[in-house]
Amino acid sequence: MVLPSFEFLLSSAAAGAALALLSMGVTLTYMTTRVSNFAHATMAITGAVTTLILLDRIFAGFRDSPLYYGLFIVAPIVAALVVGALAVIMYLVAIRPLIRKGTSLIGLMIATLAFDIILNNLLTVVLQLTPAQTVGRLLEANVKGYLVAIYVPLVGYIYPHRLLLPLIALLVAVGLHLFLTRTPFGISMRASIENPQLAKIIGIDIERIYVVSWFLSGATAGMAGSLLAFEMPGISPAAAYLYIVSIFAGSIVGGINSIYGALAGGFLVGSMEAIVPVMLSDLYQLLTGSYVDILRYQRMFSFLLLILVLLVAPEGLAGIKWRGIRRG
Amino acid sequence: MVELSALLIEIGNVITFVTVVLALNLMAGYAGIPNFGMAIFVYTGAFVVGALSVRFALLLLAALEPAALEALLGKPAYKPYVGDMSLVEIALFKSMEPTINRSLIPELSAVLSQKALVAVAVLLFTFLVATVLGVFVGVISSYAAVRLKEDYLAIALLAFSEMMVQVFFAQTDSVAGGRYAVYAPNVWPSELSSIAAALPPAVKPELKIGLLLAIALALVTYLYAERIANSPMGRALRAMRDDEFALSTYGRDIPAMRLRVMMLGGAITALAGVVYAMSFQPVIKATDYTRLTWTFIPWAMMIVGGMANNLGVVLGAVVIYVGRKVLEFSLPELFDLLRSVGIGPEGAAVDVLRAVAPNIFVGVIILLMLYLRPKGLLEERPGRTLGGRLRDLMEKFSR
Amino acid sequence: MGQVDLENPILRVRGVSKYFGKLKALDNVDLDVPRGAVTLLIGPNGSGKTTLVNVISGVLQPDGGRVEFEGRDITGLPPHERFKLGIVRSYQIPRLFPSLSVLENVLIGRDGNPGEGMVSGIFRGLWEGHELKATEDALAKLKFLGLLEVAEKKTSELSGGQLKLLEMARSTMSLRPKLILLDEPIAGVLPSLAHEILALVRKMSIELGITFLVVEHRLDIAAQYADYAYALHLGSIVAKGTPQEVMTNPKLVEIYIGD
Repeated sequence: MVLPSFEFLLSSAAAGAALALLSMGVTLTYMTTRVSNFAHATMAITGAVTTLILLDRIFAGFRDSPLYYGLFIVAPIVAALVVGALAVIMYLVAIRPLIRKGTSLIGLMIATLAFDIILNNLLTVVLQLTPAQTVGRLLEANVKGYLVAIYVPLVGYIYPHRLLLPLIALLVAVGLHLFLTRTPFGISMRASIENPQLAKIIGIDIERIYVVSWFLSGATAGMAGSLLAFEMPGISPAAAYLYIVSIFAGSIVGGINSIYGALAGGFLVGSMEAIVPVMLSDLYQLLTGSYVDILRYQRMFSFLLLILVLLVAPEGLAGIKWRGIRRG
Repeated sequence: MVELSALLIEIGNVITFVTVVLALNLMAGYAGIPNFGMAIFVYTGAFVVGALSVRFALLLLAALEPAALEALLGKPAYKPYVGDMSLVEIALFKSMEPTINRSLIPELSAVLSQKALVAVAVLLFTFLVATVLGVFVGVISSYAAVRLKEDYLAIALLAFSEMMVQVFFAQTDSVAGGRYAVYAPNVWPSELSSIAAALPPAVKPELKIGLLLAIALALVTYLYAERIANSPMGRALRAMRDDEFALSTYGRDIPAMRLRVMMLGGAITALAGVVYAMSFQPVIKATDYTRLTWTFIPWAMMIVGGMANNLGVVLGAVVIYVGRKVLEFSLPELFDLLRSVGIGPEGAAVDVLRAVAPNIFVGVIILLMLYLRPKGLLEERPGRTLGGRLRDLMEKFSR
Repeated sequence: MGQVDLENPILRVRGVSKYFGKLKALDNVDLDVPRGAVTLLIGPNGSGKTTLVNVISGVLQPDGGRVEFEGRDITGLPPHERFKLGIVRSYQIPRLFPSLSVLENVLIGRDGNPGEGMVSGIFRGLWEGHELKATEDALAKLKFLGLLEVAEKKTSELSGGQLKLLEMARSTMSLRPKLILLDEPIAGVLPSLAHEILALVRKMSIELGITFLVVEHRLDIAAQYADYAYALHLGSIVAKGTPQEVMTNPKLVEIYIGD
């Protein structure tokens, strides 16, 4: 492969889109409540597990009918609602009481790690205890088996669901932009991010805004996780431990105080993680004739990018001039 | 005897955690550096034992006892794996190959026990290199973020640890065994082993030596941490944790201070990893050094015991470790009890729940402690740099 | 009041500007702080006084202009290196270390303690002498400021006025201070104590040759202790001269009446 195929670019774009959504979610709750949420990757995995359960319990019965494709519509929505609710619960039960007690930044971070451990272990139980442990196998046997490639002239075979991730990410980005700039609630949300004291004085219900930001963060994580379920080679809660590195890398590369920056940073990190190792492997093969699997080091690229940004421009892509969502 | 050994290994584990938590407390409790990458420091020590000390021992044999090396590495059974490589090449590049490593290590241990000089050299090498590497990892893991806010530091440290574990995991044979384990050699000369063997209790001498080492390391670390806590440095560290910005306007170089703490904490943690891998977990696998076990649990221990209180975090280490074990071993009986009234889990659920319950327990304990008793079981105390003399001074000025 | 030498100032601020978003906090500020004197910087709330102190102490980087200390350009220097050159500052809203005792807070103000090392810290003999001397000085300051009784308490147990005094004690602990920036040292302090504090500033300036830049909201109490004064309004210097000259400057009268 000297030139990347369309299919490969599409799957890389899907990976980038998923990470854009996830980095955006981490940035959102950081900007509103100043919490670095280390449970975010596990939330995405929760979305993936939700999708598997839907597939196992409901859609498996429609395998041979066109109704089956409803999964791609229903699953992201259900996952968004489930994980959004979960994020709100996390905020109300674990985070808000601590913020009100004046817990330090480090205390809040370790609280999200604690929540992460609890959720991750609960997911392990769910995955292993679903009847006859079908879910774990469902992924390899069913999901992959269910996916149908469509022939597109000039381009070749593509998996239509892969279009879905970039499309949904784009929709969410545009929707979020409109929400933040056109709706009264979104505008007061921006105001309270920029100046919480002032927002309180002019009567904005800041608590409600925090809850909504956690919901949006969780919902987008659930949606991304649901769509990633179709991309992943296998779903295990342990995957979250590594994935969180990429999510934060995207958030910091974009600039941790900018939602648009996070979308861009996440997309950059996610697609780069998919493209660069493969390109390097190919290059290596071209030069030496032997094959080396660089893909297994893919998280290293996001880490290196993260370090580079921390060293050179800690404010990230959003930088100093174009800060956060002040525009518009 | 098996029971006793198992118990002593558990005790060794607890003592390892005590050292790790004391080091974490220096970094996070006193200095406010949110080290969410502790796991990689512990693994650094284990890596030195599994991957570097073996190679060093083999190279030393190549220089001093070529015949012994020939007997170890020149086996026809290794041929398919090593081809025409020289013995030194095999030592460097193939000694971590799972098949070779498995049979090589017990034999190497036997050789070392007979060659006291080589064994002592390997021991010194192991501790020295682990210290240096611990310092090094402390610097590279935090260098990019020491100038920035704690959030960035936390993320950089966590990311570094997770990434490195993946890198070592992916090294399937050539570096450190990867997903296949490598084995830790016994590096005790027979003279030492026979002294240890003569002492009670009746368990393997290397376990006794390991326990003594672990206790010595934990004790030295504790004394060191207490000294620092009651020195001007302890005061400056706590001030840095409270408000690094204000401290920098009082002439303290915050990045340099953080780096120094990371270097020291890194070295201590790596040494704890050495003793742990040598004596209590001689099957070394990068993937065993998880964020859960070696980052999250030490954090839980510190928070439960009380940040910036050395005695507190020791207490926390014991409480959390014992709590997890008790839960793990009492769950089956609890399930039996529940089943007898018809609501207990059955089949596969039992094992799964038994595996996850101790982890969920730790997560819940952390959240509860943060909410109900954020200062931990034992609270932080002011530093006592002058001890009793402060009283005298206070009285002098009160007059 | 002594003569001030404006030809050869210890601190020279030239054309410093600082923006916060669209807000112009400092607009092309020139300021000379005469050596060995007490200089006042006055101005109403929001005039940019604290921003200027932040720029001088290195807490903020200016968007334009430069800061020179003893003829050396220090614009890009981080705060801890400016401290080492002899620039010490206090904070308007006391920025104390909440988990340290009052005495420990003051001791942080003393630099160069040989015991502040991860290795040297464990060798008591290396630092005990220094620590003993520092503690004696700290207790003497606390006694003068009436804080001796609370020396071993946490700062959270102190009143607002006591916090200001503690901030003052800490900022005068440095061994070789050349320029001390005091950000509103007497705000919220009883008038009698305010006079005592300013008298101490005066005394330190004369006896030890330390230069002070005292930021104040108003001029009245502080004027008699100062040699020179600047008035800042909306980020610009609007008046300068002896405190009397500044006090009677018509522009300033207008600003304060308009305030």
